[in-house]
Parts: sequence; C-alpha cells; structure tokens
Amino acid sequence: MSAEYWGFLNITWQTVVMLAIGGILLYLGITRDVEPVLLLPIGTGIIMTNMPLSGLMEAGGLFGLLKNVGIETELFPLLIFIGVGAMIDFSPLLARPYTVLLGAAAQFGIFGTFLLVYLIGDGWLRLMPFTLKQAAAVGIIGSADGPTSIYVSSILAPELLAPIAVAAYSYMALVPIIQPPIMRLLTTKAEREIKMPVSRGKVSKRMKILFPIVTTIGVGLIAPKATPLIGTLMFGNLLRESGVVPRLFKTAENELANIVTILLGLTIGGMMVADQFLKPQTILIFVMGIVAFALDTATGLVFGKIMCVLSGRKVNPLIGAAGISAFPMSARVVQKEGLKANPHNHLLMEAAGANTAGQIASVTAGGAMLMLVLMLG
Amino acid sequence: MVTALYITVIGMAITFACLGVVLLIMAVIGKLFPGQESKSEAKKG
Repeated sequence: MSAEYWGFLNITWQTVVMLAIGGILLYLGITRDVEPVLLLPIGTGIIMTNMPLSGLMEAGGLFGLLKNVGIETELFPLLIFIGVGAMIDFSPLLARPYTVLLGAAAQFGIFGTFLLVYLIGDGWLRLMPFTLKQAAAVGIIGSADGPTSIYVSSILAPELLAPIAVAAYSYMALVPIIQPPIMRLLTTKAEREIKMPVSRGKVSKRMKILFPIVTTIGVGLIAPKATPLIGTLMFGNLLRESGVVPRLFKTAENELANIVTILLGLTIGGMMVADQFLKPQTILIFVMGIVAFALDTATGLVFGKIMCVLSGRKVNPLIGAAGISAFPMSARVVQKEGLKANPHNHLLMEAAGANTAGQIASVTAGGAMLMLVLMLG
Repeated sequence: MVTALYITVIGMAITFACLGVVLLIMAVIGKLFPGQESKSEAKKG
C-alpha cells in the first residue's frame, strides 16, 4: 500500500492539531454564534486544507488559485470594503463631529503593538524572528478590521497573513470580553455616570453625499497608500447615500459582500496549513492581538477622559472605547457599560459616532503604516 | 528601533492629521449645507 495516495497514512500530530482548531472555529461559529459568517468558512477551509495530500494550497488547487486571485492581488479585502461601506450609516458621526478624534486616538494599538513586536524581534531583544515589515503586519491587528488587516499584511508579510486574519476576526468577536474590564479600570464611576447632552442636529442629504467623496480625496492626498481602502469604503457608502442606484446599493450590501466573504473566509482558512501555522511566531501573534485591542481601548478611553475635562464633563469618556473599529460591537459594549453605571444614560448614538470614526481611522492608520514601512523599511 | 519609533510617531500624526481633515470637511459641509432640527425638537425650542 503506497503511502503517497492514502490520506490516513500521512496523518501527523500537526494534522490533528489543525483539524481540532478548524473544529473549534466551527463550534464557536455554529453553536456559540461567534462571528459565524467568518468562522464557518475559515473553519471549513482549515479542515479541508489540512487533509493530507489534498493539494488544495498547491498552484492549481482551489485555495492556491483563490489566494493568487484574491489575496495576493489585494482584491478580496477591497471588494469587501465596498460592501462594508454600503452597510455603514455615518449619520451618528456626522451629527457629532468631535467623535472623529476618538477614532484617531483608538488606533494607537496598531503602532504600539508594532513597536512591541519589533522590540521582541529584530529591533532589540531578538527573542523571535520578526522583521520590521512582519512587526507592522502584526500591529495591524489593532485596526480591529478584517479587510484592512488582510490588505496590509498581504503586502508587508504574506507569510503571516493567515494567523493575522484569524486573530483580527476572532478578537473582534471577543470585544465584549476584552473591553469592559479595561473600561472599568481606566474610568471612575462618576465618569461612567456622565449623561451626555442629546444631539439635536439632523444631517442633510447633501452632507451625507459629499462626505464620502471629499473624505476620499482628503485622506488620499495625505496618505496615498490608504486610497484603495478608503476609496472602496467610501464608494460603497456613496452607493448607499446617493439614493439613485438602489440595485447597486443592495448588491454591494448583500450579494457582493456575501460572495466575497465566502471566498475570503475559505481562502484564509485554506492558508492555515500546519507547517506554516504551527510555529512559535503564531502564538506571539495571537498574544499580541489581545495587546493591540487592549491598547486601542485604553488610548481611546484616555482621549475620552481628556475630552471630558476639556468639555467641562459633557463627554462621557466611555465613548472613547468605541473608537476601535469593531463596528457595531464596540458601540453596544459602551451602551451596556453606560447603562450599568447610570440606567438613564443611553450612549449608543455617541458611541456609534466614535465607532464609525474608528472605521475611517483604522483604514487611514493602515495606509499610513504601509506608506511609512515601505518608505523606511 | 529608531526607525520603528519614527514610524510610530509619524504614523499617529498622519492618522490624526487625516481625521482632522475629515473633521474640517464635516465642519465646512455642515456650514454650507446645514441639516434641520427634527420637528419635535423645534417645537420644544
């Protein structure tokens, strides 16, 4: 019986571990309802690609083909962003422009994590091999945004793309667990109780239409490498807000987003081949992913506290935690924590403003990281 | 390490600058094309 034809004769302990990981992701997605839209295709991809001798990741294999077409070209994350843009309503942000700065502050997790990983790697301690580009790719988990993480890591460190993508999507789902302890640690009860004045302004239709166009131009002129990401995000939003292309808007929001999610999820799972994934670097990536999210939350909260002081206690610092790009999960977490402190305190719209600002900020930060690392790295 | 620190500082500066531009854009557009208060808010006022 020749071993080169029979899968069961080629099982290794690594195969078993990866099949277990795939199974855990499927369990989390199907039974626990943890980001099922992503964990189901990723979990399936992991199981399929780690079947011995399947050849799925080889040049002519399904996942090899999808990787070449959708990941190495950066096509999949950009197409998904059209769908994401079509799903986002920027009105809470447009009605509360100051929340834009909370979005910016909450991106420090990207750069702080990049610094830490490089310090551990080739930058100083050399405990593990991480080059400048690889450290930047790990740091981008702090964008709390799947497409941005995939886009940046596919350019800077494609060999780390699979664990980075899985870490980014997994921790986005774990925001309700990661954020609340940090929120309680960095704010006082009195601060959490602050009731914010109701925003009375209504956003004009012209504002909603001009915003995506002018933002693309403005951000693109300062951080050109962010243009593909911000451009596709804002294009999707323009389809939504223009009101003149309902078919295109519905397609972007539904069919396009769903089709690309299926292909992207399968491909990311497919890239998690045992000998590439089961390395000490992978463990550090997952650990640093939590650090990134924690740093994002912390700096958003600190900036929220600064705004609280400068505004004469009109801004509840909790909304700073929503500056992370995990939309809409983070806004809901802030609402919940606000209600716990003060049952009359509804922070959802203010938090949604910061959350959508975080979406723009994470894309911008990703583009800035890309530009600077390619320029100096 | 110096390069990494430089990237961190400049990267955050670029992020804030871009979001500052977005804020400016929102302020200008908001002034040019103001939205209206909702009718219930107008009655209260």
